[in-house]
Amino acid sequence: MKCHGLKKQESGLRLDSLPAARKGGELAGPAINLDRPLQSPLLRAIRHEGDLAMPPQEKLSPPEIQAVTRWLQSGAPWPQRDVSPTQRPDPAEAWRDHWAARPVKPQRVPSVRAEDRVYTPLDAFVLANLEQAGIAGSPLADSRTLIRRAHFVLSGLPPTRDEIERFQAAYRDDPQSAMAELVDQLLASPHYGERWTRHWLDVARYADTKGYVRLNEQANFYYAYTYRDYVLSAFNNDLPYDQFVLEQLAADKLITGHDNRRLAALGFLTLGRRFTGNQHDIIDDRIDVVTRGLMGITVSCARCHDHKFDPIGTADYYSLYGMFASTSEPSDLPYLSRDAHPPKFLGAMTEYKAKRAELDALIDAYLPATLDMLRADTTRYLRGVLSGRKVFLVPLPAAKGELRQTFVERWVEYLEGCRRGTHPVFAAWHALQNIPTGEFPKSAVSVLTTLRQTQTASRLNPLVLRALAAADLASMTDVANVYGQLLESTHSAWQTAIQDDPGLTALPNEDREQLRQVLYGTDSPFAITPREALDAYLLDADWNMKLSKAYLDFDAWLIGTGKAARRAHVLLDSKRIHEPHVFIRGNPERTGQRVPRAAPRLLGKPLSAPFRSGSGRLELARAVVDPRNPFTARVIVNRVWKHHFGSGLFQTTSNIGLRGSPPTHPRLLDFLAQRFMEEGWSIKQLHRWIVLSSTWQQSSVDRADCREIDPANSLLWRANRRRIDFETLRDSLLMASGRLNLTVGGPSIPLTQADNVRRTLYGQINRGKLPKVLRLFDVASPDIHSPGRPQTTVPQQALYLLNNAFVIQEAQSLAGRARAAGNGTPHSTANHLYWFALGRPAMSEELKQCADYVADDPTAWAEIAQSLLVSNEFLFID
Amino acid sequence: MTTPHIDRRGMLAACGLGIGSVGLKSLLAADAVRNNQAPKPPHHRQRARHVIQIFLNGGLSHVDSFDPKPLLKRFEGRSLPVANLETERATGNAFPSPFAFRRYGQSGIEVSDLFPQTAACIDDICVVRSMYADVPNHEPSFLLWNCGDARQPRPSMGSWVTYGLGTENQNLPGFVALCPGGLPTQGVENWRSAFLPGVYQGTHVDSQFSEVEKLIENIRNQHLPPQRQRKQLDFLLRANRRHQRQRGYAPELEARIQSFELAYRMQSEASEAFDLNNEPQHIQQMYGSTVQSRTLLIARRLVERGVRFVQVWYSGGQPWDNHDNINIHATLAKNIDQGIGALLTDLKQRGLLDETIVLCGGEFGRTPTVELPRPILNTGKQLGRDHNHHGFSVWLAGGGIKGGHVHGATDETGWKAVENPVHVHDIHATLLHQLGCDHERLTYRYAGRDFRLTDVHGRVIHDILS
Repeated sequence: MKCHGLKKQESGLRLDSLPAARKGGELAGPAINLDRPLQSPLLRAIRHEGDLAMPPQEKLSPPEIQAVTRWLQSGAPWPQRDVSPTQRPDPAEAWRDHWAARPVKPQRVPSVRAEDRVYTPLDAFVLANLEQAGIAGSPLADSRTLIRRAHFVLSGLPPTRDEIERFQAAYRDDPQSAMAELVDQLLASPHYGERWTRHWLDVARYADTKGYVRLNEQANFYYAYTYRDYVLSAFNNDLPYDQFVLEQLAADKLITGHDNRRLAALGFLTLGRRFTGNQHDIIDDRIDVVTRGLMGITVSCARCHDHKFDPIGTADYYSLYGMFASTSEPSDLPYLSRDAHPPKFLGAMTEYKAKRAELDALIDAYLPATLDMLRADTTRYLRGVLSGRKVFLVPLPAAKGELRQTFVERWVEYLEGCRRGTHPVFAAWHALQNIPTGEFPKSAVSVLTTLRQTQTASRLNPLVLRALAAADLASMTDVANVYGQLLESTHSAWQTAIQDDPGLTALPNEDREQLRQVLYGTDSPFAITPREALDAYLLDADWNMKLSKAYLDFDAWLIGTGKAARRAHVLLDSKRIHEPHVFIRGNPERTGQRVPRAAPRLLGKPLSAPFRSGSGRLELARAVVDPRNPFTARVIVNRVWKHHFGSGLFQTTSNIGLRGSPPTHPRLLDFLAQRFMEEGWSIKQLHRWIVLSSTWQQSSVDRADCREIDPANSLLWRANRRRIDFETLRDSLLMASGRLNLTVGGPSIPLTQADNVRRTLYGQINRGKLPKVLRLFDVASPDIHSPGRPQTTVPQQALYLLNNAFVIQEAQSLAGRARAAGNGTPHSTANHLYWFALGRPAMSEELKQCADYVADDPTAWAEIAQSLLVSNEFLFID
Repeated sequence: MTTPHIDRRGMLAACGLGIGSVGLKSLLAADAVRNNQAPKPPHHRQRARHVIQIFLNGGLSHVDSFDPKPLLKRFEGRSLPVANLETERATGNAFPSPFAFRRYGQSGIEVSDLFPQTAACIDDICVVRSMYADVPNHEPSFLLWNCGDARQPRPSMGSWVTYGLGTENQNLPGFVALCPGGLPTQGVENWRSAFLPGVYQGTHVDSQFSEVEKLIENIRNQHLPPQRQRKQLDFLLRANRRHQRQRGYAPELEARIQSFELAYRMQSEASEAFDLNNEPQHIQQMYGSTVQSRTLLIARRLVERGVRFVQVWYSGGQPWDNHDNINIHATLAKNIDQGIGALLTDLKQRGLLDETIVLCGGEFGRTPTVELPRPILNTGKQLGRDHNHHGFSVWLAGGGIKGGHVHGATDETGWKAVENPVHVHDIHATLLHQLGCDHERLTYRYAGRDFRLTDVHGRVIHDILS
């Protein structure tokens, strides 16, 4: 009952009601056969007869088995108090009434009493709820608080003294136009994009490395930064969000001209963890980032069984699985360029050529010899083709002479390609392959005869026909032998020929040449780049290791120069499209029903129609951003809202399903989502609506009476005070010390590198070696999509701020900067210190405290500076 | 220390804990805002309060240590009467252990000459001889043992335990991963907190070092002596109080103020905890001088000070992976056996063994048959064993586990667990049970579902509980 009951249905089987037991499970069909009770699969299973033995570990005792047998023989009587299989809430039914299932509809702006507080329409929605609760909004924050809040939220950097003073002056004249101007300035700054890119990278579980990798596997995503820079320019240029999504899922299908720079957007799919090459897990990660990240639906729950709460079935999961299984990543990353001729290197070519020559020498030593070895072994590979294939392979190093399963795969793909039209060499192969196994010797003769009589017979290669006719064909293995011998002999004929005449470009005999093209042509299985050959482990293990190492060194050198041309980690549709089956309980060895490649069914009929084109990525992308999709706009609007207010309109930002939390302001959410789509999916416009509202501009000061009514501030009666995250903290420290380098974009640099004074966004994220400080300060784990960061307060954070060399260095620089700016008196130094660190002058009490501190030791300014840098005032935004 | 005025829901919002569900209701306790690691009450009566998990990474051979198989001698150099099971690589004929087994203690349990000092404590030890795991590969097996799942990014057992129970000493991290000399296979993933808040991540300490600055990041200020740092902290405290006064009720500000005071105390306490010079000579001698024994001594000092969960890794990489020569096991065991014996004796003397579970084993066992040579991987040697996840041994001691007891058995050859098979999930469920947590109720809501250390598996093995 524990395994097949109400809460759990192993293999889809329930045994707590008669109808459910008669319906049965995925493995054996109906568990009970009332016509022939002794044949019931249930009985066979508990007797441990046949494949299915249950319970798996301890067999029931003979009297127990006897009891079940008697019960079945007497017609399986069931007590009247039946537990109906539908007792658990039916997800589909519950879903119909779910708020997020309804389409986004235009909302009327409510009228409120406090009309003077309606700055942008969203205020009306917030005020309506507040008025209902009998609470008034808080007064507006003061101008210094507002500019700090706006800077931190929109650019992630504190304002300078100059910016603060200018804003305060403008605010005195006309508060709301000063605000509008401030927002425009901040949105126009490239630093806006830097801040919001970081938020998106949490969604996209961005990292610069793959996580744990196999021996000799490249661990770096060297060009991950081109994805990060793509996101950066998308935010800065206010790329419409729907377009942003389309490009991240299917940029390759949107590019028409020579400018392919958008390809970098595909990093959204490719830059996840690599699970030491396990394709099922890689796909799972991609399904998760797409469904939860973009739509807030938790599809990856349905990998092993139907979702327990939302109407998401394993069929939906494997529909997306099929889409990703129909894609592959090229071993040679494309160069990004606006024209057809991208540069390969941006530095001095002489050094590049020298390095490249070393690598090429090794390639020349290994690759042609490997390919010749494979050509000479064609019979074995053709026979390999016949022995079936797995869905995915995890390639492994191969010993000398060992069959390379990955190369069998190349042959399979090549032969599939030969199906179209009448292939002169392989038309006969395909014709013979249609013969059922039992009918071989006889049917083979007639198939060959028919083939010779067709109209296109003259186009068939006579050497092939002759050899097949001469052989005794008892099975496809014999056919493979014939083909293999022909091709192998062609290979050796060519080897001899070019030894005599190295200038030779073709064999003189046309029919022979046609065979040679199978082994040497541009579309042959042997047309492979060195990187592809390495990734497929075609080379003998020791060669593979040496060449891998050479590539690792070359890539490291290339990236190290800082002059590497930009490339992208892309994903493209495979030649062969995968027709998915459900894997029962997520096990790829147990295939269940066939499913189409399609978007999840809970998007509704038109959007979840089976894909027609290639893998279907573009169709999925279009379904994601279709205005009829009830999730996408709500999810992104809510994410943006959360970064402005510290909590979302619904809390579970990546779960909009039945177990998610409902929105506090459902009509406001829909109003924003609707207008957002209507006005071109502009994120910057969304920021303006929010920041220019009176709701956003409220003070964060506590009001005990309101707290009594709404302690969580879900009605938004005040602004939430928030602690800055690690990235903002580090950037602000560098800003205060005057050392921050504000260069925008480019390759990632390790955060631990001493001279790295760029914004934290550019710090390298190494999944295997994440600097401890990141997790200590709640930075999102790059291993999986992050719906939001928790906030913890632990002493180790304080230890870092008190003792870490980086923090102390910033404090020292800040102290030096303050002393240099002033006239040498403690008052002047203190005043500058407070301006640089906190954006305000020191108060008289503080001036005195500073003067006392340095009275007996004038070098103690750095200690004061550090106190300010780690103070609550520095870390909290009011 | 002033206690801030806090209300529950306000606190949850301030902590950002409102998002996920919380494992134990005590997380709602108001002091969580001060420190996410504060101790929390268990689900049921606790038999153990701490765990020391000794990981013999690479795979300890059970047929050479805790699971004697005389049959192998009878078939030496011949194939076994049963077919070899599928493991990572091909194996050949029966390969008897080169190590002799003896009976130890009142219980008379047989242990090989690899672990004489450990065996001297056998009456406190429960040997589980019927372990099995899922696959014969290191990486997934490491993760299965440490995080309960072979591949997906899931929290480590230590993270679950500190999330569920908090920790008893606020001046030390609650979950410490001690690994001398580099990182083990799968690296930091073995002690990650994954989707749990970062505070529950294991604090990695490379115990090959002895200077405290190298052991714990940021534990000491290189510029300021303590009294000078106190002066700086007082300046900070005044600034923070001034800031707080202007803002009224603000638990999030108070929490951060308190964290600095905790940090200040942690500096001295952690330095003291990791400094083995504070340990008397005879205790140091009892443990021995290898890095492994020093690591075990640190583990005892941590547990004694209230640290909840300590992982002790043998060393970086996977040293016990002796495909080519099983005799290397002797050198490896020699480095750690004395320390283990000392740890168990020491814990018992201090009355700590009653409340501390010591778990020891590798990610799987090894084959009873010899590994066949394979080009490139191993050259011509026939003295080693391949991985075996079908059957192997681990042992547990303390924390309400039955001493002098053997649970389960492999078949006569040592290939496969046949009697009372125990899966890794079952060990997890049992450990949590002893710590007072119901493994089915210790959950965390994430990505649309409630996650557990044991996923949908795990049974408490009541037979090994005293």
